[in-house]
Amino acid sequence: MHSLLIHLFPNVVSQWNLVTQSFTETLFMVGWTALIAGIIGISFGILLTITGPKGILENTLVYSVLDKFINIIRSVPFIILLALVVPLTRIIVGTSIGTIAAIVPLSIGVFPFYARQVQNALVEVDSGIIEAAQASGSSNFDLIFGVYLKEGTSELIRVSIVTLIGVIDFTAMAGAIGGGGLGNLAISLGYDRFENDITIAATLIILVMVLVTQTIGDYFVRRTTH
Amino acid sequence: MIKNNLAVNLINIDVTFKQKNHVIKAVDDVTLKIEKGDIYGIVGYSGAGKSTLVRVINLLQAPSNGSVIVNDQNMLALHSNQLRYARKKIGMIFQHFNLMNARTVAGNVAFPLRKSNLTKKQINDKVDQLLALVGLTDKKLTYPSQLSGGQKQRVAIARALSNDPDILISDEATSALDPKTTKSILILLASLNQKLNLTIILITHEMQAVKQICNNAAVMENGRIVERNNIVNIFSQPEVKITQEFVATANQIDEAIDSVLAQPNIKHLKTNEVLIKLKYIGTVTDEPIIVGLYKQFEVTANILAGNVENLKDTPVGNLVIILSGQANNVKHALKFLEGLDVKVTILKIGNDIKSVIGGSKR
Repeated sequence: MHSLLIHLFPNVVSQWNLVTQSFTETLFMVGWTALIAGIIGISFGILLTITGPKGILENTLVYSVLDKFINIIRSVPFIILLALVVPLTRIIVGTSIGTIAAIVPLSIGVFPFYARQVQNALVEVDSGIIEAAQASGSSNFDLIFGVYLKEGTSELIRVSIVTLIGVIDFTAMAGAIGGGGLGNLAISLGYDRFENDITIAATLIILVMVLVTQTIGDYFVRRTTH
Repeated sequence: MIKNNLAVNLINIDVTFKQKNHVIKAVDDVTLKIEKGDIYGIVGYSGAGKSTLVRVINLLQAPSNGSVIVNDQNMLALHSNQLRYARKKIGMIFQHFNLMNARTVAGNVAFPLRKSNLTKKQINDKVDQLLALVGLTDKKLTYPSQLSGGQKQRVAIARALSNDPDILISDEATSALDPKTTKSILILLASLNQKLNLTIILITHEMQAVKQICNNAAVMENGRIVERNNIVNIFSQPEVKITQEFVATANQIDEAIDSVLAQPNIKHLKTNEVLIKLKYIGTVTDEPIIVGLYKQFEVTANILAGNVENLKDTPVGNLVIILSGQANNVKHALKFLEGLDVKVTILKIGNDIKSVIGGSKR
């Protein structure tokens, strides 16, 4: 078994530490980005929903500002965004290079996408259900947390999984600014040094991460669909 | 403020919607007073403004003009917290039930009790009590998707009652249900009206529902109330055309007349016969009219169609009959019927009789 691995993945085996380190870096970036972009994205998504057309706090001005803001950030290609936010990253993290620094552009790149996904999930909540809750004297707080988020749970999980898989995808690009991770590993060793087995191994690991994410997500979607 | 017996008092309500180029008047200068403990029907075709009008009561729809007094409280003067409290005292049920799919039956019923001062135990007891009231005790932990339409509406009713409201607004609540389920929901509403002294406002396009449980009704068309009256008068003497149409849908007598008129013996009515429709209210029904016609005038009456209904214990009858006999006798018989407070409509008349009466159709 061991000899077969050495035969098929010679560079992976000889640089095993690098592979595990890259994997940890990817997990680190995915985790922090998911947390930060998740919180910002869900907040924006809720704001878009409640200030949007037929929302419980419909406000055309606020909505159109938010809407345009989200659209503008979303339209910047991520690889350009990486370079664009360097000054901001320096202010926040103190450096613009490294795994921690990569979390800033990742979060900025991901949250507008997630916000839009959250908005799409929440507008699906039947307006009649919202109306019934309003008629029974619910506060806006109850409407958001007790109705929108509760009724939208399974749809929110679904879009979160889509986004999370997107984040895994984005982290691969973070290598461009020295962020490390599996994407960086595949390029700097696999591609640049013709160590093809590294590229394949990185791909396989990412594939497994995506599959695991999807499977866990699907399980919770099923659990929350009634 | 003067205390009175009104649960709802809407005065000169206008609701206008601005669309791109024009303004739509969904509710046009409507004044509506509903007494406490009443079951009040609001009838009209889709788009007549019924739903918009009742949404003004709990201010889900703010009026463009007019004043909204509910339980002696000026709704338009309330702050948002006060308004939320006032809304808790106005239950509402809907055509599509609007239950939360992510919560169980108990979760739906308990939702309006969030932020109340009740303990978990008290809320649980309250939910049990409400589910018993609507007959769904065994469905407590079920999700709405597993319930039938009638059961969903019962859950919605229990939810609407969770804050012990004084008023229940039913917005087409039976329109998505089959006739049998509709009937059982209406029976439930009527019993709640009795048990809890709940004022019920029933919006519907089904006149049968109004007939079954309402005491009073208003008919809406183009954002206005075109007719309002107690239920006996609405059904027995509808004044405007649209009310007549609605009443006809409930008693089916017009359809019966159409099929009678298509019969061959009616197409070729004998010269000494007359086809009439009799409509009578109250005690007249008890008198043996038909026997009387024969005994006094030797006129035979042949019943072709008819129905008698009890509206709030007042019988209202419709009869389609052929009178036949000697022309003069028939003339006297018709006079006699009119004297009895029976509304007589001549549908078709034989020539002999026509010449005696002098063509004066009545």
